[in-house]
Amino acid sequence: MAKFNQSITLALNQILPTKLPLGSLVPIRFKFSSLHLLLLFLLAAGTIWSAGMGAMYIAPAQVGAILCSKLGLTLGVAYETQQEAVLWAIRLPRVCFAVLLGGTLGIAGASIQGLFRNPLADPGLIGISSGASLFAVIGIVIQSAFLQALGTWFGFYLLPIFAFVGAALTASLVFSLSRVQGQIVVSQMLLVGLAFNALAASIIGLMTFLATDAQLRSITFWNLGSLGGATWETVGLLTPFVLLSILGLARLSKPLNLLALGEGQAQHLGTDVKKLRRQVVLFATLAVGAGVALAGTIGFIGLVVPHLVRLLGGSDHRNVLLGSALGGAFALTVADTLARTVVAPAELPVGVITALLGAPLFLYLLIKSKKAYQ
Amino acid sequence: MTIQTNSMQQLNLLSTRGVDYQVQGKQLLKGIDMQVQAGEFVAIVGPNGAGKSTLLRILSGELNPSAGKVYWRKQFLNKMSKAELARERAVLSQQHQVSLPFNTDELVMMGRYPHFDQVPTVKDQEIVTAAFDKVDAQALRGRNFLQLSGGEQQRILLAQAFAQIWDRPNGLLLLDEPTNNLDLAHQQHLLQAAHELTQKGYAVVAILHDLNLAMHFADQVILLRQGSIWAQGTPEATLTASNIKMTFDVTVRLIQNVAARPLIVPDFAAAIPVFSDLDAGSSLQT
Repeated sequence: MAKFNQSITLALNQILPTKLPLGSLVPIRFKFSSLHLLLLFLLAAGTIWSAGMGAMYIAPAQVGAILCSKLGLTLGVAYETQQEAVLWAIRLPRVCFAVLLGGTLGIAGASIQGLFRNPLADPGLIGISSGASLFAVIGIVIQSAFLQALGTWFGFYLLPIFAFVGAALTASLVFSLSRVQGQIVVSQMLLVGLAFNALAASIIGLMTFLATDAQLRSITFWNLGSLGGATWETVGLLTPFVLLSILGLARLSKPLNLLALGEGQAQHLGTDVKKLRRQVVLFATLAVGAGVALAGTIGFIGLVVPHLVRLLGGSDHRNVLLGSALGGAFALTVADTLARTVVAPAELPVGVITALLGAPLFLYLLIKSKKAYQ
Repeated sequence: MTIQTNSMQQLNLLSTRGVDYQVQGKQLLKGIDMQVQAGEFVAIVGPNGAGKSTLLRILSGELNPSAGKVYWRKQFLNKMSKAELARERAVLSQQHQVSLPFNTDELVMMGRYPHFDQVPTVKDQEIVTAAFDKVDAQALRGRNFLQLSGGEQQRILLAQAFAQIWDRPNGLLLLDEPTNNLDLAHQQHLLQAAHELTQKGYAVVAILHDLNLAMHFADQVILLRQGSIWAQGTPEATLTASNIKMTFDVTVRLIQNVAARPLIVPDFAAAIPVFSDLDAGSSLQT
């Protein structure tokens, strides 16, 4: 936690004209650009808007007043106690969950694309999310079948850890299978992803067949992708994974920039490519795994957001990584708000919304790369 | 203009002892012994498939030799960390693989990455500006690298390499066919810039296809043939008509040049039209 606070101070250091002496002590520095400020502003506005939307509307000023009252400040804006209860118990955990998960999906997508040196490398498309959900499902089944004890040892962390292991294994496997003589072959990468997605789908299908009714309900959840399960407990569970992953990845912007020059040149400029690969896989799948375990597969955030950030602010990973974290948080917050309001009182899986927005962009990227060949 | 062998320092920067390299049963290099002094321009020449690029990759530390030793100053090259090495030697590879639309400024700044932690210093910025000057590319600043022509890209990557070792006299610059894609003026400009580096104490090792450029700019020429050194030494002693005939299988004549080193020209009268069939075939297609 202390480290997180330090990095916030640091971020402020970059904005404020006077330098705080703390700055030089901290190893992590984000280069804070105007794009980041814009995204931060959008994110703040988006979260307040999202927290107010739903069956019971809460105006942004009221959201502000309720939050301030928790801090012991009175703003003089009227609100009802029922609104306060809804905001605190239902809306806020969900918004926090969306911000954390969206942020980590964004930065994980951006760094995986950096590692694969290709903007099409989305954790969902290349099978990493499938690997995570496969392991999570296996986790559910073997836990209830043989290893009740596992659950008592690891508690809530069992599923995220299983999913993380699955994601990390798949990511390493996809990477080595799509790499030919130090170069990532894009068709190979996408086809390997296709194979992993199919394999995971069939094994999950098999597990569904074998599962009891209670297991079935939790397994079905993975195929949909929803933040419906968000509570303060799940937020607490997700937080360490997200912080570790974002802080771990944000340090890698320099070597990821160098990797864009090719593996050979990255080495000539002092990058230990193997170590970088391990770090990216570790920190990115940490987030993807935890996200899959707690919210199912939410695709395309990791594809769309980094793409837009690159379009707006250039390819420098110091810009892209932090921008994708902020942009991903914003995008998932908005997508989740749409998911739970457009067909109210029912709820759409948020994965449906992100896919609706993301799949056309994926097509567009493919068309663009087709043109580049001609 | 005559270029004299630079003998101001006798500092042995890079050397190899009995370096072999084989991959999948194929012997690509055999028994390579060479030395690169500080302030020396070394040209590696030889026909296609002679092992020039492999040798350069071994000298850069990218490949480890199957047998033999490579020394950087007094240390084993492959025992040094990548980061340590990156502050002392820069490499310009034959084919760039830049995969993202980077800004040229940031691309040249990447040459300074080994030297600063997270935020470039004023000195790093100044070096980047100077490196752009060195390759005559101020006009290309701030452009998208992927939208530049092949020659312009080559100059930007060269600026990156210059920036990397800018403040490290006695550093090493490795160039793999640096004149690829460059027009005549920029070829001269590049080799002139590399030559100036050697006068400041840097060592430059370059794979050159143009034997006249090797003859004119090099202090030492290493002539490779089928993975072994056929001849090495001063350009005049190495690039003789008989050596060129033995390695390239081309008959040449050396034309003595009063003010400079000799010119190598193909002896067209003696040349056998080896590719005549091939040329006929390709002209039919077009």
